[in-house]
Amino acid sequence: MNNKTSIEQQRKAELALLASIQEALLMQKEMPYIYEMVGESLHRMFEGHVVSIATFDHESGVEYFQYHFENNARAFPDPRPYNEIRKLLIETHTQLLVNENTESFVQNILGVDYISQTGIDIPKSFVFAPFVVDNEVRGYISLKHYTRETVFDAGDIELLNTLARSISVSMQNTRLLETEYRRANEQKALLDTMTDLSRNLELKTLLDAVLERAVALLGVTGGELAIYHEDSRTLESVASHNLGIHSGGIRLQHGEGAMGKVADTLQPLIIPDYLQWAERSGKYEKTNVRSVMVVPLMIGQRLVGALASVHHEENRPFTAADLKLLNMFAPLAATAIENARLFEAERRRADEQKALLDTMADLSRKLELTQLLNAVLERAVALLAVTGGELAIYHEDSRLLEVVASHNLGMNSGGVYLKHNEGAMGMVAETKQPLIIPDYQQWTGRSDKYSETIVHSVMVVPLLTGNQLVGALASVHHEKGRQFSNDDLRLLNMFAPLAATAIENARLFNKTNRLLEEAEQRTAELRITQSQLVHQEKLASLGELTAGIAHEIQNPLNFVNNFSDVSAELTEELVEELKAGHTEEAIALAADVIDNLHKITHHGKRADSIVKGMLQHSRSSTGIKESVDINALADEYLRLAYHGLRAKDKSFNASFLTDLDPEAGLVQIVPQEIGRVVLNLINNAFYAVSEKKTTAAAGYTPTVQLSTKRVNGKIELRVADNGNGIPAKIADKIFQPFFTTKPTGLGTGLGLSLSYDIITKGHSGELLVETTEGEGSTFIIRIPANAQAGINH
Amino acid sequence: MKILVVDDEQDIKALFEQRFRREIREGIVDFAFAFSGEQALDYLKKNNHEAVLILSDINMPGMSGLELLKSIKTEYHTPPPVVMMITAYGDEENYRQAMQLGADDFLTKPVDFAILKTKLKIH
Repeated sequence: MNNKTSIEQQRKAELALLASIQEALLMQKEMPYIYEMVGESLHRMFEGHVVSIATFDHESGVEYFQYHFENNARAFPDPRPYNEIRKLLIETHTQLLVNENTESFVQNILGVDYISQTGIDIPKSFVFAPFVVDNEVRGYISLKHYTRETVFDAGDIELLNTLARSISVSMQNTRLLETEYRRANEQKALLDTMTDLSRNLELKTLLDAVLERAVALLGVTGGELAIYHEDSRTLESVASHNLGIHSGGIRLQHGEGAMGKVADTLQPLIIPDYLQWAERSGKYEKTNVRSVMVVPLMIGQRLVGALASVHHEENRPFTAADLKLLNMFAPLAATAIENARLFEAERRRADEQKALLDTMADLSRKLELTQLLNAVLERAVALLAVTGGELAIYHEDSRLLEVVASHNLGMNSGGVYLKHNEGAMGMVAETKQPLIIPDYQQWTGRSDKYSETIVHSVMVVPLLTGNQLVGALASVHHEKGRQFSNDDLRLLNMFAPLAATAIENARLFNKTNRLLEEAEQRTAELRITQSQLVHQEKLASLGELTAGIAHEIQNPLNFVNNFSDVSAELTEELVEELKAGHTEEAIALAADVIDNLHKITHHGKRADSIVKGMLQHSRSSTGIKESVDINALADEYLRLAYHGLRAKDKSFNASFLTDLDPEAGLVQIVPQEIGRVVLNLINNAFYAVSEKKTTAAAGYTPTVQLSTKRVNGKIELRVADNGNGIPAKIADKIFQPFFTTKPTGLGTGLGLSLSYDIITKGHSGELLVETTEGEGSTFIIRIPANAQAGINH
Repeated sequence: MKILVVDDEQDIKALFEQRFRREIREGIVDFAFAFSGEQALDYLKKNNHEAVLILSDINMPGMSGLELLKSIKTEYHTPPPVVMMITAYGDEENYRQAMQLGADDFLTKPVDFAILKTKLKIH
């Protein structure tokens, strides 16, 4: 490098090198490229035996060789801890040039025995130019010459320094670039997270996403996310990734373990060696993580959760940079979680509202109690998303709860009765307060009746309408570690009044229904009884009539037979007389035959009308009014009654008189009904006189008189007897149903009451009695002669 | 032979007169008719033992055939008229009572006139 040409050449080369470096920097080449380029140029330009470019890692105190040229070849030495020369360089920030007496310099710095001990050749000249970035020495370029002293001149030193500065700038640029790039990446990751998080408003999905993002962002092995429950002041682990254990569902109190500590202090926490950490929670005993970093998730001053990231490798503690990054991420995660929670709560509330409305609609539709009770329980179980449940109704009279519906308790509790204070439900019945039992199996208050149940946690609410206990509703979890929260209680409390009202309504409805049904049934029974009795009364009167009818029908039939028979004889005689030419005799015989034929017709009709009357009497009333000759009807039934009685009692005898007004004429009546009334009155009259006859003095003539009369457009029909009369005290009862003075079995007690109904309701008439005790009674029927009114029953 | 027929049916008269028209024409029998027990007793009182045979129905309004029988058998001792009672078919009770009261003979309804004529020994 001594001649001009070579100097010029060297300058050109130097400029070219600097230009290349600038270009590389402008082109944002990576550092290894620059080290390589600078190193290659230097070993070409200088005669030095060794060209070396190295960078420092101050954390580990190691230098990394980025470029090394020695013994005419490219070499790749291992990283090496700093020696005293490097330390000097780092300390002074300035170039180190040793052009002569290098051995004593080295001995001075590295120690007296350094050379003899290591056997290393000491260069005759060497120079170190440091890379200073942000006021910190980050590496160096060194040139060494083993055979000559003062081999580097001022120009060389300057070039070297220029190169070192350029490399420093490159390093800084690259670092800035890297930071920039990393920041951009982080930004992007956060944005992704945000997008993701806002998209995943479903809480569970979101929590998983948050944790996943955090793990990816920090490049850690695993992590854990917990949300904070303000009501119970606990952290619940909701997502965990690669902790060596499944931590989901673990709950931590304030101050419990790493997360609990963060919840308490609201400060980030870095634990370099978790396995050695004294405060670790027993719940994380089995985890194999090594270093842990936890940050609180806050919304303003409010804790919403905690986020942990972990490393499994030894000696990978978390740095301030990691913390900074996690701290940047935390507010985003917190906001996302809170939003999702709010959203979830909102949606849950909407779901609840809908479910409650459904329940209302459902319940109001189901008024049948059993069905309703099952529906209530089903709804409650679905609403709370619990494993099972139980519903009991309260009986005020016996002060007992009756379990009426049970679902998945591990036993069938249906039909169990509980006293006040007996078991969970009994306790709720007594206090009228909700009850949450975190561990039912360990609960001392449990009832023996539930010894078979397998439930774990229980929540019971009273069902009240106003202040009135209607029942109790329980929901249960079977899984250990699933507890009822204030949210669950709030929901069940919202549901309870609905259920209570529904049950009460159904109860009232059922009760009313039952009463109505009972009343209806009783009415129906009465109706049946009544119709049976009416039928019986009809049969009784028909029975009384049968003998009379037989007798009555026998007589006309006898006449029909006899007159036909004798007419045949007369006709034969008539023929004889005609043959003999006795015209007069023939005419007389013919007249007799004609008379007989009239008699046959008459008696035939008589029999016919009796049969018709009998049929009419036995048939149900048609209810249709006809024009009827009241005298004929009265006479017919008088005869029927008389013969009936005579047929029943051979010794019976009584006079019967008729006083029938020829003017009575036709009347609009239902004949079989009025016939029944007349028959009934005549029977009573005959009964009255025959009763009196058994006790009366000799000379008493039992007499029954039947009379008709037309008075002021009304037909009056009287049945009078000279019996004992009716005592005043029972006179007003005789028209009441089932009232009878006859011995048991002889009267239905319905005759007069039915008669009364027929006359008053059916014919708009009246039925009266005039009686004198000891002298007799007269029953009076008055009916409008042209009665149109009256609907028959 | 004077025969008193007692029955509440008015047409019994026409029937008997036709059935016995030959015997009546030939003067073998003579009929009187009463339409109730009371009428029968009245007739017997007025006509003083004229009837030698009384033929009576039992079922009648007012005084029954049995009461009439009793009355005749207690009031008319010497010689008591022959009383023949007409009973309904199968009416054992009336038959028994009539026997106790001293009925002389019985006919069941419907009256068979051939049998009656045999009993009256008019054939």
